[in-house]
Amino acid sequence: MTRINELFQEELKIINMGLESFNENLKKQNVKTVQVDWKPPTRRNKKMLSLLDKLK
Amino acid sequence: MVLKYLIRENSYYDSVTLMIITREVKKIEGVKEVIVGMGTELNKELTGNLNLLTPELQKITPNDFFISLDSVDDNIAKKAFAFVDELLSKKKAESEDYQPSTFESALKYMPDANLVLISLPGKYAVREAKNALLNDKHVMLFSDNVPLEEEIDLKKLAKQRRLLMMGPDCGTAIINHVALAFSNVIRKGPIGIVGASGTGIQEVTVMIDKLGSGISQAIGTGGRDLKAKVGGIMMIEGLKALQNDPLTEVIVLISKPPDKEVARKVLSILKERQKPSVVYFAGGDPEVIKEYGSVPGLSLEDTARKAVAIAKGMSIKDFTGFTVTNINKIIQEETKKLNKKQRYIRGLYTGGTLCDEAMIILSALVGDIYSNIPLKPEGKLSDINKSYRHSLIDFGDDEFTRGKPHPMIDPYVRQERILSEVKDREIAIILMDFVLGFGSNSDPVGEMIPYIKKARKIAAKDGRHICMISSVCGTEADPQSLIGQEKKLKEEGVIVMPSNAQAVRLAAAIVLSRRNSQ
Amino acid sequence: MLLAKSVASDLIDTLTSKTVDGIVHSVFDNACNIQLDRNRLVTLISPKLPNCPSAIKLDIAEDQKLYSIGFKTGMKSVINKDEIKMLKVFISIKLTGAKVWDSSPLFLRSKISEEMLNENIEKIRDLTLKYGEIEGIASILDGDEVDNNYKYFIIDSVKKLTKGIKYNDYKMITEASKGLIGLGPGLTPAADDFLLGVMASLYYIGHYFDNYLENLKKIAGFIIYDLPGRTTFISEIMLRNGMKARFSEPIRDLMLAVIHNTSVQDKCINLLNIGGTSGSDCAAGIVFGGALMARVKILK
Repeated sequence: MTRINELFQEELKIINMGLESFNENLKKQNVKTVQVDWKPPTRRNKKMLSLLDKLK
Repeated sequence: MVLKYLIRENSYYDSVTLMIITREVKKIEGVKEVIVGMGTELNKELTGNLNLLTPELQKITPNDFFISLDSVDDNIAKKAFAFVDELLSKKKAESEDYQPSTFESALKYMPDANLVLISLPGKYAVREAKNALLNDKHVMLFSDNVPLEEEIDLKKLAKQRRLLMMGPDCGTAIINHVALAFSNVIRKGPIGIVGASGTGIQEVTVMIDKLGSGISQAIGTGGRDLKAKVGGIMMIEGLKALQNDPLTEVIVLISKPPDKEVARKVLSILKERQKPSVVYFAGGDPEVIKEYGSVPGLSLEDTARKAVAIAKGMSIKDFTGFTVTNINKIIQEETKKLNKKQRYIRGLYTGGTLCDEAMIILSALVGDIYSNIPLKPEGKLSDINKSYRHSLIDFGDDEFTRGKPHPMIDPYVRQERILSEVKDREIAIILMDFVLGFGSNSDPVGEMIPYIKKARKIAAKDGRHICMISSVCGTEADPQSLIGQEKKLKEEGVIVMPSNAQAVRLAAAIVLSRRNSQ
Repeated sequence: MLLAKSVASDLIDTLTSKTVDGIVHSVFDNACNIQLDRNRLVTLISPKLPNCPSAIKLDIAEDQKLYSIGFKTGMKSVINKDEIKMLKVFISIKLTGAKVWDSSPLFLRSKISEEMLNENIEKIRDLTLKYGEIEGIASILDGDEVDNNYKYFIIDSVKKLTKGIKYNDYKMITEASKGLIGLGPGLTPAADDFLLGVMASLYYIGHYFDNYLENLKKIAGFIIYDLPGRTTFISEIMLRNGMKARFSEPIRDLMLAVIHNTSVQDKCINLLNIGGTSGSDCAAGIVFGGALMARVKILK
């Protein structure tokens, strides 16, 4: 009995990342779903203290 | 430049509502700039900097709420404010239209989510899929353009965590009777499916429904699951789950021709348990399937018929014919309408596996078939935009869809193609599939009808009749009306067959009948 | 008759045996604000929300919405230390017997290294950028690349504030705050939440570096020197409480976690969960204030 079988017993609750039409179609089927307003990640590799330096 | 503003005095709205309003209004096409907030000095100053300040706005106090926006025209502004009014009047702390900006914040919002459906560009999709698996969520990965190595890593990770990893390139799945991505609405029943093909799953599930039975689950694995390197990981996990599922009595496997070793591996696992199974490995060897105790399906329709027969406790028979009663009459009539020169079949397909199935059936009956996705390398069209002899085109293939929407959604490419095809004096038959269900265009047939009409006109100019044959892959419960779609086709003189296999066999029968009569 | 589960300690001074008038200022799902006068607020909150200064937690079901109990903006009420009674509708709240939630700061001796402290502040930054809502001004944590109007507007003021605190220049601090208070979306504007976070770091991390409380209070005082009229009533009260080192439970818990190196991630996530962008804006302020205190160490 895997988690896949467990999923078969549960109510589907979906996180949709990408095409909004997929999300709309799930809502039409009365499925609980949340659409992620996804954006590509930005670069975040700055050291914190040097951040203050930048603001000097 | 249209400036429009809204003031609500002494009005307080919770932060989540305000955040949603700002986000949603910014998204409306034609809205250039918007500012939302309370009437503090600084907010007013910022509003002034954005050229959105009016004398009325200047007068408001920090306890007054305002929105000011700049749009391209008055209609857009009205639309934006109607939308805002609607949201403000809801007065809920959390609107159901909340769109978190990351997977992590989505999890915060819905911690009991159990499936993540990903259709992001390939290179980002992998990261998100992995993240989802590491958070113990099942994944359906619609995106393609994922390197094979990454697919293998994802599936291995999923297997380790005992989760579903449907994809990459998985376009169809029906889990707990929910149609995911491109899927149809299918009756509940005892047949469980695992498929490495989107339209393959669609055609089989639709047929099962048409035959009065239903499905428990339809698990997609993505097109490459049965390649040697991937080793059928997901198909095996899927079929094990169906073996353990009390609501599944019959198991169906669907795939393009798998790697031989992988096929044996998968079949041997099927053999381990007592549940009867029907296997469609397109163009594969039925003997190998029988060797492992499963029933081979000779076409998608035949697969469905056999599964339903098993489920109903009836005897299993190979089906390679027609269910249409006056079929011989149809063949004769169409044959008569064609002139001496007309002899070729042109298939214009939106579903890859349907195109495959058509090629397999046709090449056995009428000879060489050319395509953009040929069965043999020699069959590859040198110019995919120009057909040659018997040609079947899959418009959903990468070469056609790069930078464009899929033909199941946007019919443009197929519309253009049918007009160029009929200019060829040697064509006799045009084959077309129409795929319904969630994800597809809201009126696939309606979109093609004007072009079918025009095509007939072009052919009629030099006295040619074009035989048009179709099948509609859909159920009555789908968002598009199956009966309505079929009716529109029939009214245009298109012959509507109950399945892709039968449509293709009819085309072959007409060609052969013509050869015989010459 | 509703019962109060707990009452914030700062209200114990506000609410005496004398009965005063109050008017309902705003009502939401989980909170109801009652304004007593220009400077006093009583917030009724659902058990769902964390404790905070000036709040009274009601003994009701977690999913009971406050506006469905019957509170409406403009409703009149009378209040004393024993009871809140709404006039014209039959709603009253018994305060006697309620627990006291201490909203005053918890300054305890810390034994962690400075390196650990910095790491914890860095952690908050990473978590905020990863999990927070950055549409307020929290994106300021990502450097000064401009990606929204608010950030662009406040960059100079934040730089000024940093400088002012570093060099003990009270005029500069007040100038900087004038360019921040009231800015941004939200009932508590984003920049106000940011300043609240700065003050939290000022006190807690200032305390870690053995700064005199009086000095820290002075600086906080200058941050909100020119407060009146610049922002919403609710935010004013929030900032005044912050100036007195009184913070909501999520903020205080996070500061304690940072100083004592206990479950920083959990406490940070709790803070980020608050409001729309409020939690994230506040976290951004905590990071800024923390980085600043770590750099400057002792404020004279």
